[in-house]
Amino acid sequence: MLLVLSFFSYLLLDLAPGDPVEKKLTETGIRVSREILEQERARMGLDRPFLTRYVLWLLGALHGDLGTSYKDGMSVAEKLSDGLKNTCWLASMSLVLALLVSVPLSIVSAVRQNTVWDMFAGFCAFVSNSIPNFLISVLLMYLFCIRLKMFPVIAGNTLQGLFLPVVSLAIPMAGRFFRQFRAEIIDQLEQDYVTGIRARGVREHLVLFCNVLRNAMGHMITVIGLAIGSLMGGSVVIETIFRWSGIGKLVMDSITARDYPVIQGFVLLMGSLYLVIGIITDLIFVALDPRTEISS
Amino acid sequence: MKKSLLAAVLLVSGILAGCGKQAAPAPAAQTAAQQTAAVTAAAEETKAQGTQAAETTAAAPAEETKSQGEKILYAAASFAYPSLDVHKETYGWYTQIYGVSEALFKVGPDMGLIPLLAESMETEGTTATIKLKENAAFSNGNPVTAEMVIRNYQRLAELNARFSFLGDFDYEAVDEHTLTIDTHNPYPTLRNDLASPETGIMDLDSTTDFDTDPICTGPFVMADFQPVGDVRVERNDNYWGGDVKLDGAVFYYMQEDQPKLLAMQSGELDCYNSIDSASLQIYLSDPASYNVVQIAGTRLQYGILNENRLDDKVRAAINLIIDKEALAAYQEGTVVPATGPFRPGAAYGMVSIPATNPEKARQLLEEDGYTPGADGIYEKDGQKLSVEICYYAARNLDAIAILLQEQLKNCGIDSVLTVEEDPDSTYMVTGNYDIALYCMIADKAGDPLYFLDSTLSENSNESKAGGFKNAECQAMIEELRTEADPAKRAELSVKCLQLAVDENAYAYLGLFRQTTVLKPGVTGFAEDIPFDFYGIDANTDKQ
Repeated sequence: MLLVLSFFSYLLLDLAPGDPVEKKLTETGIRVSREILEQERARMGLDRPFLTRYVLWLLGALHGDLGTSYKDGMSVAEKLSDGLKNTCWLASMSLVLALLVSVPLSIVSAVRQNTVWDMFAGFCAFVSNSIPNFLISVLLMYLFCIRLKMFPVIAGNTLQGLFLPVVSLAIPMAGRFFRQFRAEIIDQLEQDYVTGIRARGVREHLVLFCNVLRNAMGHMITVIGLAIGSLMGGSVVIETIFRWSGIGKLVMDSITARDYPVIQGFVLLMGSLYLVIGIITDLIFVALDPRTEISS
Repeated sequence: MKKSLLAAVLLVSGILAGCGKQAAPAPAAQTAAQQTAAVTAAAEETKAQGTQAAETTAAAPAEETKSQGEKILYAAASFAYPSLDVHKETYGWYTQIYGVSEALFKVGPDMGLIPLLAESMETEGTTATIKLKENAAFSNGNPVTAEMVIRNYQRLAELNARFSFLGDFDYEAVDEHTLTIDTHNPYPTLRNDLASPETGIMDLDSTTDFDTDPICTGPFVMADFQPVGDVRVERNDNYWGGDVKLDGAVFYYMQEDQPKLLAMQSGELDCYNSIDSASLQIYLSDPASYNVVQIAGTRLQYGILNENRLDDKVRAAINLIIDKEALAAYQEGTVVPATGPFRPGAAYGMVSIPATNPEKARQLLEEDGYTPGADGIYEKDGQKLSVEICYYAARNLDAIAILLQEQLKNCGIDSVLTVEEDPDSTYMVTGNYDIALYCMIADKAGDPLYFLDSTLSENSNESKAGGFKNAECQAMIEELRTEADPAKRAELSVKCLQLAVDENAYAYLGLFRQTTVLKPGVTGFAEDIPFDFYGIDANTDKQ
């Protein structure tokens, strides 16, 4: 599957208009002659046929060598590794924050359906999910950096610099999680087994936390697993605005520059990550719900 | 089984969550004290306000290694390169912007060439004799010698394809501070080319890492370099050119406009250029807090009218319809209407372009056999007059395309917009357009040949695709390759451009302004020089 993925992404890159050599040599606005462009293409091996280039790349990848960036000559593996580490920080912190906010709120909201509290929480979730990331980022920057002066605008890759991007990512994520978790918990609360448990006199908090939540956990884990996959791909907007050197920005810059080796390495990396995350999610699902079997 | 599975999952989750390294703190600035600055506006062509004294508070991030009270300039850079090697790619632009490297010559505010490391240059026939300044030295104290300059040019020729022509010349070090360059053929733009930032001089013997710490001659030396990231420079205490006013500078790599604006407002930045229109309005509305300096730059927005697809009268009509003032007004101060491809006042760009005249445009179309249809669009032989406008989404060309479409429609010409990701691989070479929008630096170093050669020469892809072919123009371009007299060069350039203008081969739309915003008291950030590759120097100051 990874082989097919890498082939098609390589093919699409090759078919897309644009040329890494032109992007590199003309980005300042200075024109460059065709002869120089051809020389540089030959030097970078871009004058070779598509299949030759793909096979050479594949052979290198199979030996752990993802090549060097067309843009700056750095090792692709190193660039992706640095970007992924920073994205891991951002992704994990924002996920934790989103869960800390959305899980308790969704439980309370589900238990107190159609109350003022539920409606207010639902409205907030709707708004947070609707506002674009870049707008949230700039608003938070304005609030915390300009008005409250709690953080510098230029923070960089530090723990202090992590706060605002984490909150920016967590807000819409919490809104999404809230709506989905709430719906799942309500669905579980309407099941017959809950009626039965209550009829037997089990206390409400035990009904909720030992039974309902446990049964809802499978769906919640699936949602979280999908979110992790998406987060690990990086958030270009957040990373650019807050100057967080994550993998999303790296890849977007590489796409703009037609930096094929980095894009290919990213596709391979993300494909592998999604596979792993999918497997882990399925295993957790099975562990939580014995009724589920993994088919052979 | 379940418990062991769960334990495994938690372990993996823990590893994933903790897989980020503790990032090292980014190079940050020291905390500045509250300052009172008297603002004086630096005068240039269209300088904005800023003459009142203002009390400003700068609240820059804490700096770990610099002590309080040092004069550090904090600037934002829209680009950042992976290397400081002056000779590779266009990396020399930023090495020069950071104040680290210098070339033999420098382009001044009036586009004239100022000797920098060179004392003088005399040309006799094909041989140029360059005398270096005797006190010119690298940051390590080593003198800049003729031999070292020659070796730099030879290295540049090897590493940079755009400067490979330097490898064809013959060099000789006459003495320690004098060198000759034999170009074999007349080369009137040699001095201009030797002002390019890529021709900066490095100490090739003492530099151990060209990518991160080249030893150059500039007023600053590298203190901390992050590839494609922030850069911190310190004063070169051995600077040959005299006192350096700043103790250092920090260049933050910031691509987005809003964070730059917020950083200026919070006091974390002292200056930056390449300002978007929205931020510009905010700065202009608060002259007490911000100095805005705007001068016409060299980056040109223009349209190519395809002679292979549009007849003479239609092209003429299009040029009469285009309202450049309106296009510039929409771009809210970031662009000036172009009166030619070069900056207003440049001797080699003084062409005469007819003013906007929609009525005359209609007249021309009607003379050409077009008649207005029921929908107001001109028709001829049952075919509506419709043009294809090709553009790419950068440098405001997308907005210009839409505005042009509206302007043309108001005068009876319909149009279709086609956007391409990469113009240089598509419409600019295929010629599949009626009007092609493009943006380029028209003036590299105070000489017109580069632009004329790129756009009007019969060998250029642009003229081939656009159908421009004029023997007289070509002859003048060939003459420009050897003509050394500046006045004669200007005359040839103007005549050549006028031919293209008269043929309605081009529509010169707008010139980007070089806009710089500075905190009160900050001066010398190359705000008066129209090129993108100058930044700080020994005279940059922050009160």
